[in-house]
Parts: sequence; structure tokens; C-alpha cells
Amino acid sequence: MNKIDDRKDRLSVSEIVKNALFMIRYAAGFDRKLVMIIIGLFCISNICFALYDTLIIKFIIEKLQDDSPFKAFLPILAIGFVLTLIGEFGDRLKENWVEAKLVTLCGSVQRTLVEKNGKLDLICYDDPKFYDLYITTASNADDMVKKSVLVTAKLISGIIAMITATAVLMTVSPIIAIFPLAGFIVNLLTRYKIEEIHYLWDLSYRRSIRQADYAKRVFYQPEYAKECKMTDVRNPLRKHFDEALEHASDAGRQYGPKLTWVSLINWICVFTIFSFFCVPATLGYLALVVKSIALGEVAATNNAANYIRRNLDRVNFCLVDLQQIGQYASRFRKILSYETNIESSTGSTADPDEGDCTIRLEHVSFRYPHSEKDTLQDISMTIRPGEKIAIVGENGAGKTTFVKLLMRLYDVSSGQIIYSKHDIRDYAIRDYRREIGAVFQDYQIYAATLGENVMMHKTGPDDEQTIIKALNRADFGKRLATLENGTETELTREFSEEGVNLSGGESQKIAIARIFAGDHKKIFILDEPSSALDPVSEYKLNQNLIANAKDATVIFISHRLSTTRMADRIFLFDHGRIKEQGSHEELMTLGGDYKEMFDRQARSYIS
Amino acid sequence: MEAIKQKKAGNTGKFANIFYAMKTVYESDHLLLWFTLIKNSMEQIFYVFFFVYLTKYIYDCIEKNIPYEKLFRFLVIACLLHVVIHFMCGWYETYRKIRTPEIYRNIFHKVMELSDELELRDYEDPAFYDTYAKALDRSVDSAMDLSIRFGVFSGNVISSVMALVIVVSVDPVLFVFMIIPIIASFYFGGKTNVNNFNMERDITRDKRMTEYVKRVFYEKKYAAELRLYDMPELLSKKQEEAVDRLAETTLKYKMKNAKYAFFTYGSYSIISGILAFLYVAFRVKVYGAENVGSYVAMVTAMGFASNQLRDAVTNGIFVGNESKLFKNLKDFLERAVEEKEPGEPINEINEIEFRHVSFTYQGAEEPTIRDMSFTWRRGERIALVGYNGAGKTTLVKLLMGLYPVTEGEILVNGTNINKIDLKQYRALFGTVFQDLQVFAMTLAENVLMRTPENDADYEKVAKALSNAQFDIENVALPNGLDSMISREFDENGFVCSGGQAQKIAIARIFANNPQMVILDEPSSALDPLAEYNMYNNMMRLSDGKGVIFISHRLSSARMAHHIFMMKQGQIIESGTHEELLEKHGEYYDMFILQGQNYQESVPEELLKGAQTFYE
Repeated sequence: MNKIDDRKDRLSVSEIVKNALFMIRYAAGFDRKLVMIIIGLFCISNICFALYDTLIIKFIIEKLQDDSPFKAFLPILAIGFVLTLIGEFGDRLKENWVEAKLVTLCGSVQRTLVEKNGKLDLICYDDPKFYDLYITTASNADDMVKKSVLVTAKLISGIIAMITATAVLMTVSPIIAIFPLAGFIVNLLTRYKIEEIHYLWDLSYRRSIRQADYAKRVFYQPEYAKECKMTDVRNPLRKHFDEALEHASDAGRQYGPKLTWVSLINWICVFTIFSFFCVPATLGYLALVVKSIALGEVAATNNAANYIRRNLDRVNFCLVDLQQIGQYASRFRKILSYETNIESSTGSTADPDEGDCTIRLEHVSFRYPHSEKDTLQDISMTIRPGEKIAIVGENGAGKTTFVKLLMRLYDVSSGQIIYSKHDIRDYAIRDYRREIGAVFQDYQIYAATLGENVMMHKTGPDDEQTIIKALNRADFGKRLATLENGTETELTREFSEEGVNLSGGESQKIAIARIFAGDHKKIFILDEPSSALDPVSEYKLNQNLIANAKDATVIFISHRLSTTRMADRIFLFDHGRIKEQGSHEELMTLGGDYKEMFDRQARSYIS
Repeated sequence: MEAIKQKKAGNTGKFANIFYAMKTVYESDHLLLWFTLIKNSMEQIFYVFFFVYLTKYIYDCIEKNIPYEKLFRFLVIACLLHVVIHFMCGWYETYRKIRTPEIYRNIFHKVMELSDELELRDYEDPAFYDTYAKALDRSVDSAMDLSIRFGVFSGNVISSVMALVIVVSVDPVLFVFMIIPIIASFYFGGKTNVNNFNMERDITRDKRMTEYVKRVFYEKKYAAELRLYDMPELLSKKQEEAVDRLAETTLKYKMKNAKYAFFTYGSYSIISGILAFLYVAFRVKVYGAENVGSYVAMVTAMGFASNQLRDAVTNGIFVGNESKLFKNLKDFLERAVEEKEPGEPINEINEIEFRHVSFTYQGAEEPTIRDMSFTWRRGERIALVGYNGAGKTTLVKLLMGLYPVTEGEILVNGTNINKIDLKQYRALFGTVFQDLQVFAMTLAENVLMRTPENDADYEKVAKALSNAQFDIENVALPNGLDSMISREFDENGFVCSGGQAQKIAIARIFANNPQMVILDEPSSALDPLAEYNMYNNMMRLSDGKGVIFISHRLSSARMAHHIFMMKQGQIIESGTHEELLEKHGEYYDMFILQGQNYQESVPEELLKGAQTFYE
């Protein structure tokens, strides 16, 4: 799983080129025509300007020198006029039309990747190193695809322009053409080195700045404001901030001088020697000593050489970008080819709807990646349909992991989970999960309408009754009556000032309404659904759940042992194992940990 | 008239902002600013020398048949000069890499000083976040960018003037061909700016939608839910619609921009290009000008001069736009200059009194706290209980002076809270908020909220953590008490769970031993055993202190001397647990409801209210 973490690996030139080609093909996969048009557009406008800046100017200068009449300029300037118009027109389209058209392409790339991310196995999130890398790579994909298209177009058109100008040079003096060529080669050789050092510096600089940014964030993000006001946390924060910046400067001290020396070699060779010195010196020599060329040719050649140098500049920048794209693409290719196990599973032919909905766990163990011990160890149990099961235990006992295994958000490390006589891995993942309604500890409210937040899909008029019924059951009815737009109310202020921000308790009710909305759910799973509720709401909720889940199996995790009394059976988890199990009465008679916990909580109520 | 005045004011503002940006760089490192300005303008000026003067010189040499040695010597000198410039640029880059963090330090230290002056409601105001936080986010890059671009801009202006002087010295008429495009670029530049502004305005919502969808898919907290429900399809659809609208709007505005740009750039190419050449040809061929070499050089010189002018305009516009962003930062940094009267010093809290206090949140219609009066003395433990949204959290925020009251007054030892030194006052409190935060610092720093200095400090931290039920022994801390919390700074940092974070926040109180303690539902993620032990320790150690705690679990309310039952921003019942139970009021109802599962029977009448929603 760590295979995609190879940022430090250097890429060879051929790999970079291969990667860049991959990016272009990827972009073309979305809109081949557009990519072709963009490259074509860049080439046309560059060729027009190359012809104008070298050939037309050459003609003008030569005609000024010799004894052609004024009239001879008119056709040349007319051609120049047309070339300029086409070139300018192309350039403006490049900057604007292309930009607008790429919005759609980038949007499609982004959509494809987020959808892919939605199908990533949950276990990947528990490996922060992998996931951070995955996220940064995937979330930059749209920008990078766009960049790849533009850079390729610029590079191809830049090289074509240079070839055009070089051809003009060759007609005057083949020797002169050597200089831009030599410059280009030196540039290629040193540029690679420059980029490599720059990349290392950037990596180290960004890392330090990112750390410093943390302190900055603490100071302006509202969630930290209260603590900053109440305590002196600024002092240690300032210390860490200053240290991070010192490291950022150190990165400059380490890589800066190297970078400067290599850059100097590049600049002095490419620009000073091959361009500013060699070209005029040779031209002057040919004109003044050998006397083989006249002023007109000197001027035209000098002009063309300058044109080439300007394009060399541009190609330079493209090469820098190309290297970045190459580095990026190697990560990108890996995330694209990353295979998921759970989320893509289509199962054998079994249909979870057939059967008696019994859940059976056989010697189930589970261990998180990179963890040294099992989070769940050898769990075996049978949950009959319609049973109400409570899971209790201290923090870290494995309760949440247990329900995640039931939902097949993770796959067991050993043992098996059987639902309606088949291993849950035999079902298509979507069919199996459709049996389950869950409220998570960290339930979320989405920036969509209230109805959509309950149904969790696009709603139509047919859904209205279901939504209202579900909201009423979740004790949201009173609040619903106060909402002007009813189930069409826009939730959160993400997009609209009129959006409604719900309180913690209200949000929780929405999350609970979700399981009531899906009427075919066979299993309800509640991971501490009542922690944000006040006692009265909690009471109503618990009663409602039991009342409405008559046929369904309910599995709930709760800290409040009072709630667990409603359960048919209680499992007490301890360090990943089931320590005690039975009904409330049985466990109280047993006199173990459960009784101790219950008594402690109850003591405050029974005077 | 009015419009012109406004524009003028806008321009002076722009300059003030640019100079403020440069001042920021200057304050951070004198040399960095000078180096930036000189390097970037010199580069441009040097181009004139090479592309205009040198070219003209060479052509003149050839035309006048001057000996080659002289030309060669001149070239060598010019190229040596070029090498010197390269050296300057090269070492500038290194210097910039080393010194730029200094600007960040300078700005951020100022912001830190300033944060004292900010009210909590400033933070909660979305407009504040949008303007200042964004300005701060880009401030360092923006300060450097502005300085660099200003240097380039000055260089552009100087070099185009120099080029123009050379051009005009050959033939003054050529000047006409240069001035028209300049006027055109100013005119269309303004239109482009308006157009861009409108575009940004029209695409913001759709752009935010795509960003939102991306966030939901990538953030871990949404992950499990997305996999269990059909939300991905809904979000995907929304994203697609947003992108379609985005593309359509962008195309509309971009094509307008293309039109303006076509006129701007076209006027350079056509007027100072084709038309100027026509004039030159006319001068040379029809009027028979003598200095053909100079005219030939001017053909390229004019191209160069118009390039420089165009860059000057582009950079000028960029600097202008970027300076707007810096204006936000400037406003923010300078607003602190307002002198505030120093408050009365305070080092002891004996009592805090609320007198007819009401409070309404900005933009809210209903007050959250209504006409509330009570007194809290040191040594007194108060429990705040009540339904969600009763105003409990707001009450404690008012108490600490985090919001100014809308009506009434809060008296601390008899003095109005507005007149005392709030920083000193707040330092007397130990608080755990509902939405508490742990920081990316070491565990010890997170508890002490300062850097530990000696062994006694570490001992204190260890004790505080165990009092808060944080199990140091059994949690896999990579580096003991010096373990970094979170992975912000350290890849091997310790990422704590919700419960562990609460325990750390609670440990702060044990470690710092404040006079007054405020706990706003500090134990919601704790299991019953940990919660019970934590409360037990807290009450044992807080004898003689003032304690206010908010809890949904009424069992803990019994540990208070006084219980305030809150409803809709008012205290509807108050008294000891026993008194309130005898009253048979709302507290009684709530207590019985919560405790009913611990007892054998539940009063039937209580179930009636709850049954409304049964089916």
C-alpha cells in the first residue's frame, strides 16, 4: 500500500517523457478533439509569429538596404498584416477560449477522481501516510491535467517556432545556426540539474512552511479562538513557528548556493556567450573582415537569433513544468491503478434478501495495518433477526471497529462473518450494505436540502411522505414545522445565506431519520447516537427506535448504561474481546464489570 | 467629477498599499528590499542596452565600416557586464530563499500581538474570515510579489523611456506610432478588469460547489457515511451541474476578454509594427533618409519598446490588483493601533455577578440570554443543566468576557467587566470547551500551555494527566511526555482520539490550578468509568475554587452546590439537587426521565409527552 510513496525517487528523462505522454493521453481520453485543437491553435499562432518576426522582418530590412522602390514593401507588409492578425487572433483564443473550454475537461477529471475516491476501501484512510499522498495527488489532478495539455502545446509550438527561425538563419549563414543549437544543448543538460536541486529545495522549504502555517491557522481559525484567548498557548506556538521558519531558511542555505552556481553556468553559456557574444561577433566578422554579407543580412540574422533566444526562454519554462508533470504523473498513475478489494466487490450470485437475516461471527479477529496488536480478537456470536443488541465497554475496547466490520467497511483479518447463511464477502457490496441503516458517531450534514439529507439521494415529490414520516419518528417534527421551506430547506450556510445551520442535537436527529427513511433496512446500527442529545430527547429517541424497529435487528453502542436495559442482550467488550454477555438481569446477577459500571452510574440517581 | 475624485482616491490608496507591502519587506530585511528592487529593475534596463543600444551600435559600425577590433572590444566589455548582472541575479536568488521566511516571521508576530484586540465575534464573522484570513494566507508571497513586480515595473518604465528616447532621437514621428497603442491598452485594460471582476462574482457559487464536493469526498469524516448511503451519486450530479454552469459563464466572459485583448495587442502589432514599418519604408525610399542603419535598428527597437510598454502596463495592472489584497492585511494590521484604555489589574476573583444580562448574537432575531441575574462566588460549584439550545454555552462565554453583553452588566468583584484587564481576568480561569482543541505541540506543552522548564513541570504534567484519567502507561506515546501531538510537525506524532483530547484539555486545569473552573460538557466522549473518576478528582481538588460545569448527564449535577436549570435563555429553576427534586418542576422531570432505567418504575404521566411521535 505504501508503493505510491516514492516522491524522493529520481526519474530519468525517458520516464519523465513517458509520464508526460501518459498525462496527455489521459486528458485526450476525456476530450480528444479539444486537446488536438489546443495543440493546433498554439502551433498556428506560433508559426505565424515566427514567420513574421524572422522572414517578413528580414525582407523589410533587406528591402530598406537595397534599391527597391517603396511599392515593393506593400505586398510584404500585406502578408505581414495577415500573419499578425492570425497570430494575434490565435494568441487571444489561447488565453481565453482554451481556458474556458478546459473548465469542462478539468471538471470531468475532478469528478472521475472523486468518484474513484468514493470507492476507495475505508481501510486506506487508516494509513495516514498513504491517504495524505493519495489526497494531494488526486486533488491536484485537474490542475495537473490542464497544465499537461498547455505545456505540451507550448513545447511543441515553441520547438516548431524555433525550427522555423533556425531555417531562416540557415539561409544566411549555417555557422550562425550552430550557436542557438549549442545553447539549446547546454540548456538541456544544465536545466535538468537545476530543476533537480530546485525540487529538493522546494520540498524541504514547503515542509517547513507548512509547519509554520499551522501556527498561523491556529491564530485565525474560529475554532481555536477561545483557547487562544483563555490561555498563553501563543508562547509555545511562537517557539515552534520560529523554529519552523529557521528550518525554511536552512533549506535556502543548503540548496541556494548550489542552485546559484549551476544557474550561472547555464545563463553565462546560453545567453551571454552563445547569444549576446557569439552571434554579433561572428556577424561583425563576416561583415567587416570577410565582407561576405551586408548590413541587411546582419540585421535579419541578428533578429532571427534574438527570436530564437526568446523562444528558448519559453521552452525552458516548459521543460521545468514538464519535469514537474513527470514527477506528478508517476504518483498519479499509481493512484489510478490502485485496486480496491471491498468497494469493487460484486460478489457471487447470492442475494442477501433471501434468507433469515441471522448474523453469525465465527472467530473474527481484526488488526489495523501497521498495528502491532489485534483490535478485535477471536469474536464469535450469533445475532438473531429482530434482536436488540447493546455493545458496551471502555474507550478503545473495539466497539466501533466491530460495527464497521459488520457493515463490511473493513474486511476481517481472520475468521468470517455470515449473514443469511453466506459469508458477507459473497454478496455484492452495494446489495449487502443496502440491508443496513447506520448512524455513526461522526455523522455529517451535507450542503443539500433537508429532504436530500434524509433520503441521501436526489428526492422527488414521491419521497415527501417518507421524509416527513422519518423526521417525525426521529423527533424532528417540531423543528420541521418552524422551517418555511419544509423538506426543501437548504441546510448549512455553505452556499446560501438563507441556509439553515442545525444544532448538534438537531443534526443528530437528521442522521437518525436516515435509517427510518429506508424502510427495507434489516439491520440498524447506532454508534452512540445520543451523545449530543439532552436526556428528554435521548429518552424519546430510544423509545422510538425500539418501537419502530420491531422486525429489524438493532445493534447499538452506548456509554449510558441506562439505555442498554432496553436491549435483549448486552455484550461487554474489553481489549478486543467479549468479556461478558447476556441480558441486563443476567449480567447484574453475574456481578462482573458490567454490574460495577452500572452501579457506579446508578448511584447518582438512586438516593 | 465625483467619479474622478474616487478614482484618484483609489489610486493613492493603491500606492499606499504597495508602499506598505514594500515597507513590510523592508522591516523584515532592509537588504532584501533593496536587492529585490535593484535586481528586477536593472535586468529590464539592461535589456535596452543590449537590444536597442548595442544593436544600433553594431549596425552603425558596419555601415560606417569601423575596424572589427573596436566592435569586438565593445562586445567583450558588454558581455562582461552581462556576466556581472548574472552574478547579481544568481546570488539574489539564494539570498531571497534564505531571507523570505523573515517576512513571514515579521507579519505573523504582528498578527499574534494583535489577536488580543480581536473579539470572539470577529472570528465568528464570515466576512472577517474571508477578508483577513485570506489576506494573511497570501501575505508573504504577496509582499514579495509586489516588491518584485514593482521593481520590474520600474525597470519597464525606465527602459521603455530610454528606448523611446533612442527611437525619437532617430525620428520623432515614430513616437506617434507608439503612443496610440499605449492609450488603447489603458482603455481596454480597464474594461478587462471590470469584466474579470464580474466573472469572479458570477462563478464563485459554482466554484464553491465543486470545491465542496471535493472536500466531502476526500475528508475522512465523511468516508464511512458515503460508503453506506447513495450520497455519492447526488454529489456527483451536483458537481456536474456546477461544472456545466461554470464552463458556460467562463466562456461568456472569457470571449469578451479575448475581444478586448485582441484590440490591445493588435494595436501594438499593427500600429507600432506594420504601420510603423510602412512609415520607415516611406521615409527611406521616398524621402531618402541618410542613416539607413539606424532606421533598420529602429525596426527592432520599436518592437522592443512596445514589448516593454506592454509589460509595464501588465505589471502595473498586476501590482494594482495585488495591492487590493494587501490592503486587507494593512487594514488588519493597522487597526490595532487604536489605543485602548488599559483595564484595571485583577489577580483575584471573589464574586461575579450578572445583573439583568441579555445577549443577542449578531444577526439573530431572538436573544439567546434573557434578563439573567445571579451571583457566583469563589468556592461555589454551580451546575448548568437544560435542553439543547437553552443558552448554557453562551452564558459561560459571557462570563469570561468573550462577548460583550447586549443589555445589563456583568460585575467582577463589583467592577464592570469592561473596565478590568481581560487578559489578566481570563488567566484566572481554567476552561474546557465543548469544542476543545489540542495543539500540534508536545503533550507536556499541551497540558501546561507553555514550554516545560524542569523536572517539577514534567511531574506536574504526569500528575495532571492521571487525574484527568489519561492513561500514560498504556497509550503508545512515541516519546513520553515530549511526544508531539498530531502529525502536523512530526510524522510520528501521536494522533489522539476524541476522548484522549478531552482528557488532555481537562489535564490543563489540573496542571494550572486556576481560581475558577469552567467545564462545558468536558466528558461527552469519555466512558462512564473515566468520567466518574475524572469528576471525582476534579471535585476533590477544586475545594475553595469556583466551579461552573455544564453536563447532560444529570448524575454529575448532584455534585454541585447550586443547580441552574436553564430554558430559552433564562434560569427557570435554581437550588440544590434535593430542593429541585422536591419542587417537582422541569429539573425533576428531566432527572426522572434520565434515571428511569436505573429504577424500577417510571411515572406514567411522563411518557405522555414523549409518546407524541410514536407510531
